[in-house]
Amino acid sequence: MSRAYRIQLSEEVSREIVAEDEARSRLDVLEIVSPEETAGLLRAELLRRGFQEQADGTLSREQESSVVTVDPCTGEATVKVAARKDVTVKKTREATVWDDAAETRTGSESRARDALRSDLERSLERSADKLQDQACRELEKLLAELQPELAEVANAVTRAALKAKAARMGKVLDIREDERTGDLTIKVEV
Amino acid sequence: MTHAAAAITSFEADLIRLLRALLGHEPIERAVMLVREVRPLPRGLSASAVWIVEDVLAKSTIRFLLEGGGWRAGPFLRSGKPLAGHPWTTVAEAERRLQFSPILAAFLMWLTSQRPSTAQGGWAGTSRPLTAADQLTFARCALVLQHVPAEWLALRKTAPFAGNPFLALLGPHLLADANAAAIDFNSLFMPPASLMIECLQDRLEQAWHECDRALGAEADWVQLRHRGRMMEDLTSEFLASADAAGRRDLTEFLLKVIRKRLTPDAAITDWTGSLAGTGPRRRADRQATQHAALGIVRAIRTFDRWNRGEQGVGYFDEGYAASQHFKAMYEANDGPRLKLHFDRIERTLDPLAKESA
Repeated sequence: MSRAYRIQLSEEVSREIVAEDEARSRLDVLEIVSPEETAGLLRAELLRRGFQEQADGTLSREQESSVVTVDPCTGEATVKVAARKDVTVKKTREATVWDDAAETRTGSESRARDALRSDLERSLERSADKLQDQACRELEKLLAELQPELAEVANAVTRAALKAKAARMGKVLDIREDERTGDLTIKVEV
Repeated sequence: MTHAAAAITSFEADLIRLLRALLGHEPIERAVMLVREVRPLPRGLSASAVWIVEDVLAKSTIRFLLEGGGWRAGPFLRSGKPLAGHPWTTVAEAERRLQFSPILAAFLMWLTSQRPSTAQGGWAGTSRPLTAADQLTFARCALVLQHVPAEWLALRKTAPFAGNPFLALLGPHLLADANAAAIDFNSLFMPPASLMIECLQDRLEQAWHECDRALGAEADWVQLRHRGRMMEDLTSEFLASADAAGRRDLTEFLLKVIRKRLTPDAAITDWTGSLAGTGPRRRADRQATQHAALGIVRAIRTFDRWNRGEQGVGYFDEGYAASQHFKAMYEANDGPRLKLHFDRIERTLDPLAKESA
């Protein structure tokens, strides 16, 4: 006569989960001076705001888990966010095995263990999805914060380019800037 | 010999029927039926059958070119200068002669005798170069063979179809896994291929318009990204080849497609409105899909860059006539306004732009 036993299986998995997201944008800089001169003005403005020059000619600024990179030659800005988390998932599963045949017993145990491992993988996937959503939310928040700053950068570069152009046109008599409205008036004697 | 009265075998009769069906002169159902049948392969074709095949190819090709836009008179660029007239009246006879090689006959014999999906080893293809007329004919065959999916699947990667520049233009949707760099567009800008492209402008406009609309009907995010990128690569390669050959005028069909799509009220949803669900979790993937969806109309940037370059060509400069010709074409198709519409749509994809969606 065969007898049924209940066995309890337990597995634990620890894994580092990584999630990242990014968005690309282009700074709205007007073509007032040559592209090379515009790139120089953009580089100077970004350095003033804490960006660091990289070996490939781009400028980037790191903040905790995010990196903002701007290519001064093309005006292309990339905002990247990365999140890491160590996750440990532990699960227990019970299975019924019969003692009449060793093959049946090991087979039932093996199937139960496979199901347990699938459960663990699904849990890890859910954790990864949550982390990914968190990275996306962080990116959206960062983009909202960056929008006014990068608009200011574009304005500053445009103002600098206008001044450089005016200086080449003749003698600059007067420059008036309205901080509030962003108006810029340059009087030039040509 | 009176060819009309000459006798042909039943195999030859089937081959001619198949050829006519593949060229669109018979219902697609007949092509489907004929392609699926298997017949014993004869050692060769009789002189009468060869004569009929040549006659069908010659008349059908001319008709295809005329109906595709060849009826329209130019001006067309000849040695860098616009010349009034039809494509074939503005070149020497030697340049407009269409030559079909025996490869076509060999393919037709094989296709009549075999069912591609079950044939052992498939069609061996050929390492010999195809003429422009051969390539155009193979491209036309592909447009019909696509309606027999199992057979087309067995043929699409063989030599006359994979990398066929006419097929890339007439049926870009058929090159699902195409590597744009592997398509030799440069060969299209020498006669008689360049004359064919001049004649096919209407047909190409229709094919690419449908292709762009199909992007807008795609529901799968990954598929749209894949297809959009492929179309952008194809477009870029074609434009680069046209530019290198000094034949920017042959790209007008693309400008007309862009004109149809970039209307004043066009929005990104015209290309992404059919996508199912909220899309991938990553914002980067969603943005990449939206970016890829504009793969064809993004060509307006190249047209705009060309136009700006042409503005600097003076009356006494080399290429002045060709630059005037291009500028007239760009203006006639409302190029500057199209660029503004494109910039407006692309700004809505920019996460840092004030107008972003």
